[in-house]
Order: sequence, then structure tokens, then C-alpha cells
Amino acid sequence: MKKLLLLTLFIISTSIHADSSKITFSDGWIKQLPPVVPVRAGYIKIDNPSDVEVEITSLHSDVFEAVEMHETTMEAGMMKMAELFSVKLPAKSKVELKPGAKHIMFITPKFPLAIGDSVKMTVTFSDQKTQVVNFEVKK
Amino acid sequence: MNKTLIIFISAIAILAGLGSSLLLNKSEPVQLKALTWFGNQAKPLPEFALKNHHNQAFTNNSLSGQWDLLFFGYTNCPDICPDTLQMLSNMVNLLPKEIDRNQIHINFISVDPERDSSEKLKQYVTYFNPEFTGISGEEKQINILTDAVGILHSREPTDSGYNIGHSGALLLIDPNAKYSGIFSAPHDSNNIAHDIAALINSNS
Repeated sequence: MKKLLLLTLFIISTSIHADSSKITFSDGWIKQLPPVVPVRAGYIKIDNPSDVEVEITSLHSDVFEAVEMHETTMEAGMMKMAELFSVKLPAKSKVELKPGAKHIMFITPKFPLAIGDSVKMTVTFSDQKTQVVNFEVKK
Repeated sequence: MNKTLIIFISAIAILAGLGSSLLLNKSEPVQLKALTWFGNQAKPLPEFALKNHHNQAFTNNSLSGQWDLLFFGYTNCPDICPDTLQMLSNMVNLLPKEIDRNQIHINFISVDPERDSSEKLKQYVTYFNPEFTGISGEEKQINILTDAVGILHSREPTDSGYNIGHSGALLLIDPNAKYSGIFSAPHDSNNIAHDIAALINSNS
């Protein structure tokens, strides 16, 4: 019980300090693929100029059935993909989600997307704040 | 069997990687930028029977007469596979004009026959380049090929199904249908185009 209380206090205190309002996103794009493929990777640059680490805890887009964070890793000679349940944005740092590394996985578009289309995605941070981010569909 | 093969291939790769250069019919060796060339250690492939995306037979004979690159992946792979196929499409466009495009075939071999039908593969590979070939077939036949060339692949269960871990390497098959070199990931389209052009030129 005492542990739980401490944990709760810890969570509250970290969430008070984290502030996602200064986080900026740029150059977001989604890789266009033929309609037979249900999954699309998304890439974006993220800048956290603040003094505090913030985490991205979930993603949502009305255009897709689900949006997840994934990481491609090299393991025993194979490229593998693992789901990430949060992405840390360390203080005063830039994080790039890019091919062959951490990336966004957009699962099952609700309607066909065309090159040049703009897709909105809502990012939820560890401080419970949200931000809407734009992606362009590109070849 | 697999382990010894991997060690064997790695040993060749390391040996060949030391100042890899090409001595085919030309008097002057060609410096390679990305390829690990097996030289006289090129390995014949065991007999396999797969299907191309037109549902026609794809066998050892299909690899004779031109250079071939083999890339193993699956269409539900959102990150590495599209990135590699896009790179390969750029690579082909970077080849010098005088190079006959029929001298290099690009083949995407599915390690996910359960989900990748011929029709799906056709739409997928030709999206990147109309000249690319998508290949699939029975799992047993795919494994004959992947075991022979030391390409690893394994299913990884997820909440909604499965992903497949797979090698990111590109395998080079010579015009005699022998496994003759490997491009290891990460790939650079300029370097691969340089080496492919050198191979085609030195063989003609």
C-alpha cells in the first residue's frame, strides 16, 4: 500500500514536471503503398527544446483503424519489428522517426489515400496533453 | 546444417570483403563499393520450384542468362521492405544508359506465402517498378532456397496476427544461376548501381 502511494506520488510529480507544449513536429510523411497492403509506415522529426523529458504515450488518427509506434531492430541477422508503448523525447533533443529505426505504423486506412493527401494524427503525451500533427502521403 | 552454412558464408564474406575487387574477363580489376563478391566460391543453388507473380513457374532456370538480385520479405512489412524496394527502383534508374536493363532482374521473394498471393505480390512489386518480379510458393520450396543461401526468417506473433523477422540482405545470383555475392544492409542505391554496372560490363 505504501509502495502504491509512493508510486502514485511519483507518477503525479513526474507528470507535473513534464511539459509537452514546447514539442514541435516537422516533415511528417506516410509511405504510399498499393491498396492491397493494409499497413503504412510514417516518419517524422520531433524537437523537444524544453528542459524536461516527455514521452509520447499514444497515437490516434481518424483515417486509420489503429496507429502504433514500432521499432525495426537488427537481431541475430534479421530485421525485426517490435511495438513500442512509449517513445521518450529527452530534454533538449531531437528525435527522428525514420526508415529502419523507430517509426509509426498506420494500420488499415478507412478509405484509399492518394499521394499528396494530408493525414492528421493526434499525439498524446505523458503530461496528458495532446497535439495534432500533419502527415503528407508521399511515394 | 544451417549453422555451418552461415559460418561458411560469413567466412567467405569476410575473406571476400577484404579489398573486394572483381576479376572477370577484364584485365583490370574493378573496385567494388558495396558487394561482397564470392569469386570462385560461387555456390550452385539446389533445385527449387516457386511461382512468379504471373503464376508461372519460377525455378533455377529462371535465374540463368542474366544477373539477379534476390530480396526476401513480405507485403505486410511496412518499414524495411518498401524502403528496400524503393531503393532498388532508384538503383535501376541510376544504372548507366548503355547498360541493358534485361541484364539485371530484381526479385522480391515472399517469406509469407500464407498472406502473399500472386495477385497481391503483383500489385505490390509493380507499384515500385513494373519490371520487378514478385515470387511466392509453398513454404517448403521457399525454405529450400532460404536454407541454401543462409537467409533467416521467422514469425513473430503480435496482438493482431504476426510479423516476420527477415534478413535485409540482397543476394546476387550470376548468369549461371550461382549465388555469387551479397549486399548487406543498410543499402546505398548509388553504390549498388556502381557494382551492378561493373558486373554487367565485365561479363559482356
